[in-house]
Amino acid sequence: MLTGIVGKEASVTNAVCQIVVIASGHYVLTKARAHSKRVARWLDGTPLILMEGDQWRERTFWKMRISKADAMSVVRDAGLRTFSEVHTATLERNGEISIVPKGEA
Amino acid sequence: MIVPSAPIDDNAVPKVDDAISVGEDLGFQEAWWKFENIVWLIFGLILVADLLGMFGRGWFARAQAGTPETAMSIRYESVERASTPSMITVALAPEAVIQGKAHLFVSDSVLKELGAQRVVPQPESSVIGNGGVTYTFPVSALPATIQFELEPSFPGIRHWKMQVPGNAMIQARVIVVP
Repeated sequence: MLTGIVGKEASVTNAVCQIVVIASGHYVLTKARAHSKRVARWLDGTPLILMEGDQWRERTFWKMRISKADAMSVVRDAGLRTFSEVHTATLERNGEISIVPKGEA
Repeated sequence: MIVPSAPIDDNAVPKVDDAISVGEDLGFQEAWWKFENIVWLIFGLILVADLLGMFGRGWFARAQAGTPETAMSIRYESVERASTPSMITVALAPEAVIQGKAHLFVSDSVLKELGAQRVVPQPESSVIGNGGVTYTFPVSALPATIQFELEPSFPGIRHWKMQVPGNAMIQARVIVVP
């Protein structure tokens, strides 16, 4: 079927079928994600805590291929100077790191 | 119009230190990392298999057939890829050349299933029958080779035969991967 996009075939029917399949797949996945926490976990993953109570989660850093420098850059973005001002750092499901400063926790 | 609503549940997402809602699920994440490791292992095996030529175009795929009784030796790829060019090269032995001509029977599967695109050199004549084609090539002196340029259309296991009439037949199997 994909030959319509990447191969020599230039069939409009192929192209329309591919668009419909992709759109339907997207709809089914988002519907399933909204209705089932389990599906949502499989599709999006879960947030992961990187730093909590002055302790690094080293394994999470290692497994998610994140460096302390990545975390520090987000800490600076949040207007903080050092890690010691951070209460919790979380790797969100969209790949961004979010920071909760100590005073706000 | 009534808009459906429900009271806010502050415990819908599990909290850290009983203060910040994060919703981390380390148990699931550990299982996911294990799954990732398995996937990386499979990727690694695919890479090694590809480098070795198990999916065609490499050391594993290269094959040769032929004995003194067959009056020729054939080099081919035992693993080919669909819609990808490949080659069967036939090297004629002195026994294959009679009065300046060499005859070669090629089964239909080479022409149809393995998608022969071209025979080099052009045969002098070709006669169909016995589930294949018998080509005749004029030969001036040895060494002499004949090449079949292939491009199989579909994946599958294909069997082919070649024979210099009056000599033993060579049969081989080719796996065409998608």
